[in-house]
Parts: sequence; structure tokens; C-alpha cells
Amino acid sequence: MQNAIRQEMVELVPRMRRFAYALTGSKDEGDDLVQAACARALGRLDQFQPGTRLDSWMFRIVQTIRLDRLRSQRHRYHVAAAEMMEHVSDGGAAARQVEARLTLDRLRAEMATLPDDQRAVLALVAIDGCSYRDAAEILDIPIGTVMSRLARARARLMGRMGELG
Amino acid sequence: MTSRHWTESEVAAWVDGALSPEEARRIEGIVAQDDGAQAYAEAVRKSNAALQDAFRSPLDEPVPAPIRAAIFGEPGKVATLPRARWTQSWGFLALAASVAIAVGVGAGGLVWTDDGSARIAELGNAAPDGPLYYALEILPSGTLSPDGVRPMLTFRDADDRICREFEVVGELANEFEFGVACRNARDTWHVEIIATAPPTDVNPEFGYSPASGPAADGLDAALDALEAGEPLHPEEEAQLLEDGWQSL
Repeated sequence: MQNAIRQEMVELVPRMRRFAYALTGSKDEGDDLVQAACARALGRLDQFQPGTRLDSWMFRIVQTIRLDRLRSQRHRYHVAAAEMMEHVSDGGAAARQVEARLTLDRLRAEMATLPDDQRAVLALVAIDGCSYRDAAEILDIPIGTVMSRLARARARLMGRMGELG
Repeated sequence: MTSRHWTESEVAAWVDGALSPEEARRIEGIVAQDDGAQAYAEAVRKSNAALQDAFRSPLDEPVPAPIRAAIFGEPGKVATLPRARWTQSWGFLALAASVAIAVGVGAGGLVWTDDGSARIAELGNAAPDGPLYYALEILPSGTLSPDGVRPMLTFRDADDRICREFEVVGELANEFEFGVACRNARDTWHVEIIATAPPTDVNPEFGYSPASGPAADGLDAALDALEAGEPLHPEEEAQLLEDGWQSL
């Protein structure tokens, strides 16, 4: 059974990497998170209930490790996000850049400035296509909270990204 | 705005597919008639699509080696394995330490485990209804089959046969098998080489140690004997796959 789970886990890696990338704003940091989540999951396989969804369980572990790390690195992370914004703003000044590319760069940067809890909901629902119920389960919050965080995150993103709205 | 009978959250939930069928019908009706609701729905849709675009790159990339190692390695241990990449050539095999290598033309019969369990890859012709044959015959390099077989690259040998390098993962923790099979007349895939790196080779700090000794020498000799050409370009491989490997 373990081997079947490992196999299923490796097939989930692209989605987990995307989720972690959206959470952290960095592919390297995201990959590090996914690697840690896989190691932790395999160390706690006895806690996984066969018949339940492995993807939800893995996403929850990714998010838990992310929160653990944020608590210990909060300051560092915000500095990184601010630097990212600054960098992208410079890029925006260069009008020669392809507009679509610029929009995606800006979007990633705006995503990084969202509060962590809003970014997590948006990553699950808007990017991964999770149902509200699955997102609520993964983040261990009520569905109503999923909806309110989504609404705040979207209001902020759409407000900043005028061309998207 | 004054007599609005919808909320942004409702419209967003409709776009997200999160409403019950009755609620979805109600909002759908509103969106069809209300310009404001329609514009908001479109904005949410665009925003979702843009976010998906912005973060989609991991979906197009192979699983990074350290993550694979974390999954197929021992719990809690993170080893950096010298994983094969389909874009690379033969060098990867020489990186795995103490690889046990089997080279030959004998028909099957090579058993790596003491318990006699069936292996996906054995020397000799791959069974036409087996998982190895399936993967070699129809999967592009870099694609993992449901049975854990991944063709890595395709090349031609000295006899102009199509050969494919492959790996088998997930059978046993920490164990990977690498192999080479060549396609012969009558649509058979003949496994020419198998190399396996047993679990004991994993060094949790450094991954596999550098190859040396008779096993690595034997592997080199086996590859030399095949006179493996350069890996085929993905487009050429794709064409061959489409033609059922018959383009020659």
C-alpha cells in the first residue's frame, strides 16, 4: 500500500508545486516546501486514512509547514515580498516589455502582498480549482470564512490589477 | 446598485462552481440579465484564468529530483539522488554507486530479489501485454506510466535499431532500476541492460556516492557495445511514436 501511496504522491507533485509556488511566490522556496511536506507525510503515513483524499491531506501538510515557517521567518518573508514588488515596479517602468508578461509578473507580485490566509484560499480555489468545501477542510476553517477571505482577496487583486477587472 | 439582488460573493461562487444547482440557476439567470453581475462574473473569470497562467509553470515541468527522492526515499530522510533526466545522455547511470548490472541476450530469468517476486523489467523480450512494453511502445520520454515506468530518452544503436532508456520507480522504497530496451523486428522490445541501485546505497547526506569498481566498468562496456547514438530530438521521437516506430 505504501508504494501505491508514493506513486499517487509523485503524481500530485505538479499540483503541490503550483500550490506552494502560489503560497510562497518563489519556485525554489515552494519546492523546498513540497519536499518537506512529502518527507513529513511519509513519516506519518499511519495518520493517513485510506479511502480519504490524498491530495487534500498533502495540501494541508504543505499549508501547515508553510505556517510553521512563516511564524519563524515572518520578518524575512515580508522583506522578500517587498523586494519583489520593487523589482516588478521597475520592470513596469520599462514600457517595452510585453504586456501580457508584465501582467503575470505583476499578478505574482500582487499575490505576494496579500495576507497569507487570503493567498492560501485564492491558491486553492482560483488556481487549483478546489471546491469551497475542500478548501475549508484543507485550511481547517468554515466555508463562510473561505468565502469572505476569497472576497477580500479578489477585491484587493482586482482593485490593483485594473486591467483584469 | 440600489436594488441589486445579488452579491459579489454569490456571483464569484457561481463562477467557481461552488453553488447548489438551484442557487446556480438563480445566479445564472441574474447574470444573464444584469450588466453589473455579468461584468463581475467576467472579472472573476479573467482573474482566475490569469492566476492560473501566472503559476502554471510547475505543471509543465518534471518532478524535481530532490522531491522524487523525498518520496521514494526512506521516511524523514532527504537524499539528493543523481536522478536520470531524459534530456541527459548516458552519464547518469555512471553516477549511481554500486549499481548491479546485468547485460546479456539471454531470455528473461534475471531476478534481483531473493523473494522471487515478479519484476517489471527483466532481460529479454518484454511481454507484449506487460507494463514495460506499454510504456516503451506508446509513452513519450519523460512520461511516467501508472505502473511506474518512465521512458527517459530514445536513441539509435549501431544497428540502427530504436532503443529507449527507461527507469522503473516505486517498486521498493529507495530502489530504482534503469534499463535500456531496443525495438526489434516483429514489434518486440528487447531489454538489453538493467542497472539497479539497491536501498543500501543511499547516503542520507550526499545521495549516492560516485560510481566506481567493476559494476560501473561493466555498464560502460555494455553501453559502448551498443554504440548508443545521441538522444533523438523530442520532435523526432514524437513522429516515431505517432508512426508506431515504423518510419524507417
